[in-house]
Amino acid sequence: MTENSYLRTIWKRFKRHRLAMVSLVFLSFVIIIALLAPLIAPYHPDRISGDFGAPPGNGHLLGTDDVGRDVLSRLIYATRISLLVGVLSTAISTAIGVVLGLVSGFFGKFIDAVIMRFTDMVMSFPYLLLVLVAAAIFGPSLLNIIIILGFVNWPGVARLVRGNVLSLRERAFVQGALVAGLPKPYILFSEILPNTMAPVLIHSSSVMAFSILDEAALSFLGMGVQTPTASLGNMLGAATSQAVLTDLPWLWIPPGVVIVLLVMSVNFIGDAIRDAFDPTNPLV
Amino acid sequence: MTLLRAENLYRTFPAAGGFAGRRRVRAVTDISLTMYENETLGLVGESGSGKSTLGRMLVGLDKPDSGAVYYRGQDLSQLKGQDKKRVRTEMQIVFQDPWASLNPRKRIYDILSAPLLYHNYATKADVGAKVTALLEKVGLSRESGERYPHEFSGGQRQRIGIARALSLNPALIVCDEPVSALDVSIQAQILNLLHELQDEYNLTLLFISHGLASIKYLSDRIAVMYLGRIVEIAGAEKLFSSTYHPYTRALIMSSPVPDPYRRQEPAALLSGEIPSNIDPPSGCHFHPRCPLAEDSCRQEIPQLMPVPGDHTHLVACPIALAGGGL
Amino acid sequence: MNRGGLLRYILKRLLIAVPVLIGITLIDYLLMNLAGNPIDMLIGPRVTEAAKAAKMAELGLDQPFLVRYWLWLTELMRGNMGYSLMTYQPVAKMIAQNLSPTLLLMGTSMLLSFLISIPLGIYSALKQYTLRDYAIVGTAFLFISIPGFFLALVLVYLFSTKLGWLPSSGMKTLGGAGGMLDTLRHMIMPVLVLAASVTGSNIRYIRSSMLEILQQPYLRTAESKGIGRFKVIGKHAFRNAMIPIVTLIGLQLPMLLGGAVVVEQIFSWPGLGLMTMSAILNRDFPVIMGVSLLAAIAVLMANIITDILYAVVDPTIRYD
Repeated sequence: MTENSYLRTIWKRFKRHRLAMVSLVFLSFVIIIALLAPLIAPYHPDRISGDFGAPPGNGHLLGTDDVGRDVLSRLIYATRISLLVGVLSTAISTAIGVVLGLVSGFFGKFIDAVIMRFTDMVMSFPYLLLVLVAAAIFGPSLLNIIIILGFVNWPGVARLVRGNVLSLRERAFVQGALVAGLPKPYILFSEILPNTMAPVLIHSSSVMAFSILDEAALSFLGMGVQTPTASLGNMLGAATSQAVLTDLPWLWIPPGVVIVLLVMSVNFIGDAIRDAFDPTNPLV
Repeated sequence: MTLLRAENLYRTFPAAGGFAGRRRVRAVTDISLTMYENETLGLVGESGSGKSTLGRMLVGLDKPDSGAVYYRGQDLSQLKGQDKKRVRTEMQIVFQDPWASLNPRKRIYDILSAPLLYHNYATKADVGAKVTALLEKVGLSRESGERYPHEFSGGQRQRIGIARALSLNPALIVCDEPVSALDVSIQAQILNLLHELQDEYNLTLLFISHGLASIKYLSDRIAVMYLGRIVEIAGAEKLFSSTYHPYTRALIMSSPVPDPYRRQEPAALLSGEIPSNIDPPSGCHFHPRCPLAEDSCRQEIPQLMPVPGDHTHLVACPIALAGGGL
Repeated sequence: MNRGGLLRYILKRLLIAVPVLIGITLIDYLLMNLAGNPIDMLIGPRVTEAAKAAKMAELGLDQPFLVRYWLWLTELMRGNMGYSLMTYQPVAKMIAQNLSPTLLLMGTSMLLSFLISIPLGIYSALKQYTLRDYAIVGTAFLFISIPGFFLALVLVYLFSTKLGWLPSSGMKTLGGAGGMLDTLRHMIMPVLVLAASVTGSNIRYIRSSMLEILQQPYLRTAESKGIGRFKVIGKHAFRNAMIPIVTLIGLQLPMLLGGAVVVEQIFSWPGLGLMTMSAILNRDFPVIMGVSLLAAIAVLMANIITDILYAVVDPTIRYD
């Protein structure tokens, strides 16, 4: 069995998870649309292109919003923003979490205690509240939201990596590298890190799902991406007005459905990867 | 020539389970030991006797709570910088579990070349040739370097583990039950390989085992451990021909021997369970299971004493010493 | 396990919490400093410039950061959490006034969530890989993935706007007689939304803990001895499954607190969440930081209680 055939086995196991396969297709589709947004969107997302609050049809597939912008075009750009926030903030929090977890688990003792107590502190603040406070202090903008979510979401990753490092550190191959006198940074990054990447990636998928939800919640509450830039959350936020909620359902139902589908597919894919990497599962 | 000397080593670990924070497992208690150049020292004990902990402390993988290990006269804990690096490479270890001892994500070539390159034992230009030589030395083909650990059998993996230990030209290799996870048919091959390599490289071996049978023919001297202490140490022949300690006797009797009439079931010799090394029995730790036990054994911890007329044969049992050997 | 050991453990756990608690106040104070002058928040905005200068000198605002932090901390320990920039009321008093509606909402949601997720999670684990298991797990995923505010909008659209069955905002009907029944009607939708946000992850957590327990050798032994499957589960497995449920309560608190902010905002539920959100929108930092601090301490306490309960239920637990 070679490394390639190992990956093939993982892929075979992954394929058994039908919902995850559907999710993968859906997510690929959404990513392509998001990347090609300028080519695909029928109108400019921020410009008035039709009547105020026109229902779907008549050149506007999903109608227009209360100021006459094309809802479909806004939806496409909003999805792009949501994915951007999800991917970038997850990358930031994963990077922070991996570094802190590695250092904490490998060096142990005092450094470990300090990092873990700090993790406890951050985790004690209710997550959404912390994000809202940070947004209030630093001001809501796309870049700030990405950074704030990234800097708040790392404790889970850090704990996961630390736990993995603690168990890997006792494994004979790491001990062998220690006896061979290899330097600690080499052992940390070359021996330990590669063996903890799979669980980290699995965890990251759920971090990304949460990031997308959190961006939406922030923007919904008016503390996230600001109009006229469209985000799934601030499109939904329009429905807090009774008139929009009652009379213009095409304004808020599509972004809501897109969020649910997006987050669900990320979760399903994460779940399938978890199952595929689980060594107790039968080899197809 | 003395290669390595351990003096009064102690090592305890926090006990798993319960809230009793101060309870500790006494893995190694007051062990002093000398290893001579180019010899094979066998270290025998049941699981939990502390033999692996002792082995790990000797190569610097674990630090003793108190006591010191001297390598060529230098205290391991006092070494710094370049000296520490050099001494480290001179002491290597071969692990028990061949499935856990190799990084699953690396090719064999990468596993073997990393220490060579880091310690400047090879250059980028000749590292390939050096790895090939190592592989051939342990009976593997050059092509195995391109493969990943999971593509090998347990015996082959153990050969790779030996190649890694050899790569830095060590003086001492601790073999921590290197064959106990392997099929019996493979065990002899690995033992023979170690024996050949020892002659070729002038290696000093510490051979850890849970039974006497597998190390009887490989060892020059054998030390027997029971609950963290050495109870008897002697030349390999002597240990079998004139056994003193009742625990050593029980071990010899219970190990498989070709003559079925001489063999006795261990249960008949060792009554009772192995006591816990969290709260070891008072006095001589072996007394609850010992056929020779007297009242004094419950109070006094016996020290290692030489056998009359043989200062290389030490026994921690005054009663057996008074009564003479087997 | 002995009594002394347990007491020592509790003591040790509390001792570990002390630096965390100090750290939490430090982070809180740091954020407040990033937001503005903490003395403004402490003494209230109605004070004249001269009085403020006197107060600043008195409080030693020219002191280094850590000294100022210490002053703030001593005030805090006397119960002075500062004054709101909007209402000029003491923050501690505002929190006390708005606490009970939020506790009512969170408590009911937690209860409802457990009533749904415990039986479903166990059932799903017992019927692993059946159609019903997939249906339950699929629903759990839907609950996890649906944002609370979207669910809230859908519910309001259906039950208030279209059907007119339920009130969409507040805790009591304006000008109505009030009473328990009225509050109950107002509670239905907020509780459903808040419960939905944690029920999904609860089901998954309980299912996987149950699956793990079902793998245990003692269960197979009991089964092989001819004790009925359900009897075994009731007697042995459930007791052990209590451990993860205790954990869940600790995990849920921060989620519910965050969720309450969103839910109370949408349904105009007059609790801590609504108060906090309006404070955030108005940059009323003394209120925001007071609530954050209180919430963090609540979560910390929940975690300590979880750990201690763990130790009581599971005597084999190891700690260092």
